[in-house]
Formats: sequence, structure tokens, C-alpha cells
Amino acid sequence: MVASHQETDHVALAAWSVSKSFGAVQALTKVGIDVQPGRVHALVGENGAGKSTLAKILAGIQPADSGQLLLNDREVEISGRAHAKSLGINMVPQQLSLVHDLSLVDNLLLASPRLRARRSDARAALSRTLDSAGVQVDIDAPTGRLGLAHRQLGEIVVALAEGARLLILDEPTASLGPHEVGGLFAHLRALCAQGTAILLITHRVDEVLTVADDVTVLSHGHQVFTGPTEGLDANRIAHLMVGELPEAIARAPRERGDAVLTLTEVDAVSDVDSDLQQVSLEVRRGEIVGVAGVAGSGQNLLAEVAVGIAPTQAGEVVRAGSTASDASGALAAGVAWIPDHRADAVVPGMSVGENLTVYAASVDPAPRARVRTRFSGRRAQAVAAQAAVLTEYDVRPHDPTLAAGNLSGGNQQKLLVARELDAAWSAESPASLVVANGPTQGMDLRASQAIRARLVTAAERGAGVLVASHDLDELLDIADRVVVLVGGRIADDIPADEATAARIGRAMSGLARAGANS
Amino acid sequence: MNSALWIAIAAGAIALATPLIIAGLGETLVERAGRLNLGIEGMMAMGAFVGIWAASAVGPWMGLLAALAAGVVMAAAMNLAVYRFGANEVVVGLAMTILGLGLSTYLYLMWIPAGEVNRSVETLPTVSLGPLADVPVLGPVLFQHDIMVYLLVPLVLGFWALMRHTTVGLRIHAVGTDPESARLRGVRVERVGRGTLLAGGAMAGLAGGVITAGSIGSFTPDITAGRGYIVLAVVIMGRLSPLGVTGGSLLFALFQSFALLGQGLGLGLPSEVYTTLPYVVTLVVLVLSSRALVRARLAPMRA
Ligand SMILES: Nc1ncnc2c1ncn2[C@@H]1O[C@H](COP(=O)(O)OP(=O)(O)OP(=O)(O)O)[C@@H](O)[C@H]1O
Ligand SMILES: [Mg+2]
Repeated sequence: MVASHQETDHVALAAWSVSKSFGAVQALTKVGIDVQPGRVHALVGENGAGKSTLAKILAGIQPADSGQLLLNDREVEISGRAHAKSLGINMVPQQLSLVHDLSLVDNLLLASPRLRARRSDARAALSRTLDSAGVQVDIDAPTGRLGLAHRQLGEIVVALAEGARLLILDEPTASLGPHEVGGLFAHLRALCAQGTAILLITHRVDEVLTVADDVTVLSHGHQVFTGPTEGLDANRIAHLMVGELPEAIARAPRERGDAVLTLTEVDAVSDVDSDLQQVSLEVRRGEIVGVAGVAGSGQNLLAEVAVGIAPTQAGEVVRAGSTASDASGALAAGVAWIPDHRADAVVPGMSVGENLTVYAASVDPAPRARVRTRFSGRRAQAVAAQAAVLTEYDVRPHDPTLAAGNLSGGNQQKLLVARELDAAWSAESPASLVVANGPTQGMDLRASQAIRARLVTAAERGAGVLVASHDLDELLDIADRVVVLVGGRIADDIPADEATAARIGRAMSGLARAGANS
Repeated sequence: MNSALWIAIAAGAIALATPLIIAGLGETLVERAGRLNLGIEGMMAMGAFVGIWAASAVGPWMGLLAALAAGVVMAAAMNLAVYRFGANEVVVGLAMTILGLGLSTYLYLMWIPAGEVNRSVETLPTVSLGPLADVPVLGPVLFQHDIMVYLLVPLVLGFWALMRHTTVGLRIHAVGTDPESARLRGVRVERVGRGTLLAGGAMAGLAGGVITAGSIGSFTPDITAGRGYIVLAVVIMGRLSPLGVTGGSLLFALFQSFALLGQGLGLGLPSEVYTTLPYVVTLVVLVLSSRALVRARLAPMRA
């Protein structure tokens, strides 16, 4: 390669006075950003601030209404994703983009300009990237069969292996915990040291603090801050992200009722998660039980067994007094179910209002009646009732007629939580059981705190709450006890007053006393 | 005596299967990309006419090329209607079938007015593969055909390799199963859709040309006789795989060949049985194989 070519090997991408609106929603108003080679630029702001919109404009996924993009100080018109890639701009979108039918290897080959699919080369490139980032994912299974955390990691690894001179990461770690993230950020820093420019969208203060050189803050589509992170402390960054934080959740003692979920020596198998082995667990009314574990330790399967979606091989599951294992029965019994992959539960093509009321179509009369009483009457009334729910859960914009797929990622998550917690509760029949798997992923600091407070309220109103999360602080914040899964077995069961991040972390990596649960 | 007839039936099956396999290979690409070409019958009919017409002037090979081009033109028109004007693919496909059948008949009557003697042209030569052709039974069944039949082998393998071992195959698969993700990964979804339909049209046109310019040597109206629809059935039966489509086509063609020649076996069956047999068999196999397909699709959801 000639020397002059070497110089243009680095990419600096700047946006200048970019605006974008979707119908009546003004997503971005004259926003600017400057991503420099060899630096990590964090883009932060509350849910719906316009971060993903800006990222998609930079990556050629959607065009801006007005404004300019400058690539190495020259104006560019990016015509599409393929064009952006040819300019060296790569992206991990918030809504993951792996083709489910294909393995990571084939996903990597997909956009390659070569005709022959050289799988051995692709496999080698992926293994190398996995090694240097210090993470592990199955690269030959169809990605649709990977758990969410592994899919997210896979997406990042594919982007890294494809190579980029400018890499845009839209909440890359939303569904990952410290164990999964591993050496990923160290790897990103190493790439940076070689001159890659990185734009990182995140809601995590610690990520901004530890890896970012610059930070740009958006609020309601306006750019409100931009500058180096040096000299900013955690509080200042949190304040820039979401303004004043509400006070921490108070821990008041709650009354325990009878058991709403009892698992007795349950075995279950899954081809995407660890098989459950001899899992016994009880959740009482008024109790919040946290579930921790390295991704793929069985927490997804445990949650699915708890709501009755996944069949069991052995053992007994008693859910709200019934042993029947079917989803509509669970619905009738007042089970709220927040799965980890919101794409499984929010229908993007349906309106926000329809997403709130999908249960009205359920075969079982009980929940239907409940939903009907809540959203019955004339259309206008129904819309008003739906809008009220949206306001209550701060799903923005509070417009029930919008397509759910057009909400920002965090707002889709709020919508899912709103539907589950709201539909499961009405004055006549309070939710008996709430099963939440990663309930706050993709939410900003303030929204996730609000959701944690709601889970606490649910317990106060007499529901049993089972919450799995990769965010240990979340569990420490609200759980009365934390069960730790290792390879599909309960390795430890830690009461709140003994739970610390260190203790849970040790148990997660399999260092707890053997047989702690027997 | 009977064994000679059976050999003729088997050899006939391979000749009859050839156009089905060719058009079927094209349609596997189209359906893999998540599209559907209901115009195959019309494209085959146009290919059949254009093929013979061109062959009468410039010989069979150029005839086949012209037939292929006729299919491409019709597929391009279909793309235009679907992508530019947002028309429904199913409706446009059926319209192409009606158009192709009508237009080929009309052009034929312009070429050879009613009452005149039909024109016969020289077809592709039959090639006996040296000593192989003399092997008893297998020789006459497999190794005494026109060149097109032998070309099927590299063609089928080529399509198989295209789907399995090229990035084009991956892109087609991705667009057919998950177009939104494919787009985000930088695949030009529309271009893949357009391209596969052009390829499907080319293969359908070629298949029509193979019937006339390749083996029969003349054209008559409605010469395709519903084979375009059989191709659609065979593609589903073969689970969108080049090898499966080949097998399905051979199965159908075997029963069709039996229907044509089997009456000489003296089994004493009414002639309707012979003529309906290929369709009944296709239907049964189609039901059985699509059941298996649905099961396979549902399995991961149950897990
Ligand atoms: N395709 C679309 N159609 C209509 N509105 C849209 C569309 N995409 C985004 N919006 C709106 O634009 C605004 C900004 O959305 P964006 O996805 O950029 O937010 P974000 O900052 O990424 O939020 P989050 O942290 O929740 O991911 C939101 O109000 C959203 O509803
Ligand atoms: Mg976003």
C-alpha cells in the first residue's frame, strides 16, 4: 500500500446541523457531532432523545432531512448501508441485524464482495476476534438459536471481523453483564489505538467513564453538551444523561403471603440455554426473588418454565395454585411476563395501542374480560385509556396510534413493561406473579429506576416477583434474595442482607460452596 | 419385448424431465429469495415459440439463446410492474402466464397461418456417449440423449454450489428469510429480488426453448401443456433445493412417460388412469413432503 493511501486509512466523520423528523415527531434538530480517529466518542441521552436516529444517518441506514455529513472534511452523500460499508463505516444497530437462519460465519460472509463463500477464512477471522476480545460464542449455530446475550455479542464480533475504520455501536451491551462483556472494551480501546474511530451509544455511566474520550449529549433531539470526558465525574455524567435522578428506592419490609410459584426438582432441556437440573425454588406473595448467572446459565429457561412456556422433563411446577403448563392459563392466572428479547413480545407493525391490548384476542375469557373492562367502550374512550397507560409508564410519545416499531428502543421496552404490569393488574385481580427477564434493558437511568420501583410496588400489592438480570446492581437494589444459576443448577441462594456484588459474582463463576442449595 | 418398452419409458422420462428441471432450478432461486413467479407457464410458452422461430433461421443453439432472452424480457416486465408500480406479484405472474400463452399462439399464427403446413426445424443432435451408450439398460436410458440432457449435470451442480458455496446464495437465502436484517447488513434487498426473478425468467424461457428447439423441432399452440404449473409443484416438493427439484422432476416425468408409453404394456387399465397418474402422484408426494416441511419449520418453535 502506498503512503498516501495510508493517510486516508483513518476516517473522521462529522455531522453538521443535521435535522430529521418522522411525521409530527421532530427526532433531531440541527445536531452536530464529530467522531475522530483514535478516539471513542460516547453519545448519550434519555430514551427517545434521537441517538439511534443520528447513528442510523451516519451509517447510511436512513437519510437526514437536512444538514451535512463530512468524511475527512469533505462533504459526502451516503446512499445506503452498502455504500457506508465501502467507506469503512460499520454499525451494530440497536435492533440487532443478524439473519437468524444463518450462522455467524455466514452472516459475516453475507455482505462480502467476493463471490465464493470462504467459510474457513471467515471462521478463522471470527475465532481471532473472539480470542482477542476474550469472549465466547458459538459461530456455527444459526443465530436465531442463540440466546439474546450471545446474539448481541455475535453481532459485535461480526462487525469487528468485518473491519471498520469507523465503528458505530448502538447500546452494544444492553443485554450483557460484566462476565459477557469480558475484554470487549479493552479490545475496542486497542482498535482505537490503531486509529479506528468509535461512536458508542450507551446508558451506562461506567462505560462512558472508562472508555470514552469525548461525549455528546442529546435531549429531545437537541444537542445539549459536547466535549471531552476528562474532568467529568460519574454524577456529572449521569446528570448530563437524564437530569436530576429520583431518590433511591426505599426498602420497606413487606409482608409475605403464600407461595405463588413453586418449582420442585425441575429438569428441563433447551437447545439455546443450559438445561435445568434439579431446580427447586419458591416465590411467595410480596417477595422479590432475583436470578443471576452468566449468560446461558439457564436463567432464560427458568423464566420460561416459570410462566409455563417451556415444557419440563421432570419435577413439578405449581403456578398460582395450578400445575397446568400453558401460556393462556398463565395469563388467566394473572402472570405478567417480560421476556428478555422484546422483539418476541412487541409486534412492531401493530400500533402501540394494539400492543397494549393484544391479550384481548386471547382464547381464555378471563383476561379478555379484564382487558375489555379496562379498554372497552367507544374508540375514543379506549384510546384515552391507552394514552393514560402510556403516560403512566412514560412511553414517549404518548400516542397509541403510532406503530410500535417506530418507538425508540427504550420506549419499546417501556411499552412491553407497561402492557405486562398494567394488564396483569386491575382492581379485581391483582397480578399474582411477575416474571421479568432483563426488565430494564435499553432504558435510561431514570426509566430503569422507575421500573424497579414498579416491581417493588407489585410486590407490595401482593405479587410474587421473579426477576432475572445481568445487572447485579439492579438485583441488589430490589431483590429480597438472589439465586445464582451455574450451568442450569442453583449454585447459591443469597439473602439480601448478605448479598454483595462480589459474593454474587463469585457464585456466578462457580466458586460458591458446592451443594449450597441442598 | 416388455423390457424394451420399460427402457423406452425410462429414457423418455429423462427427456421429459429436462425442461422441468431447468425451469425448476430458476424457480428455486426465486422462491429462496422469498418471491414467487406464477408466470413460468407463460414464459415457457414464449420461450418455446421464440426458440423455434429463431432456430429456424439461425440454428438450435441460437434458438435456445433467443428463448432464454424471451424469458428475461418477460421477467423484466414483471419486475417493473412489481417494483416500479407496486403491483401484486401473484396477479402479475398470472397475467404473464395468460399473456405468454396468448402471445405465443398469436405470433405462431402470424408466422404460419392456419391451413399451412407447420415448420419443422433441426434440433440439438443426439449424442451417444461412446462405449457407455452400449452398456445394457443403463446405456440407452442414460447415455443416448441430446446434449442438453448431459448439460443438466453441471447445471444442477452449479445451482447447488451457488446456493451452498457462494455469497450470492447466502444473500438470496438472507433476503428470503429475513429481509430487514439483510438490509441492515448491507445487502441490497431489491436488487437480489430483481436478479433472482430475471434468472428465473431466463431459465423458464430456456426450458420452453428446450421443448421445441431442443427436442421436438416444431411448435404448436399450448405446447407447454401446464408444465409451468408442474414446475411450481416440483419446486415445493423438492424443498427449494436444486437436488430435490431434480428428483421431483424425474419422478413426475417418469409417470408421465409411463402414461405416454405404458398403454403398450397391456395392463388393461383405462386410458384415463394413465393420463391422470402423474398428477395424482405429484399431488400425493406434494402433500407428504410439505407436511414434513411444515413439521421441520414448527419444530424449533415447539422446543
Ligand atoms: N421510523 C420512525 N418513525 C417514526 N418515529 C420514529 C422513527 N424512528 C424514530 N422515531 C422517533 O424519533 C425519536 C428518537 O428516536 P431514537 O430511536 O433515535 O431514540 P434513542 O435516543 O435511540 O432512544 P433509546 O435510548 O430509547 O434507544 C423517538 O421519539 C422515536 O419515536
Ligand atoms: Mg436507540
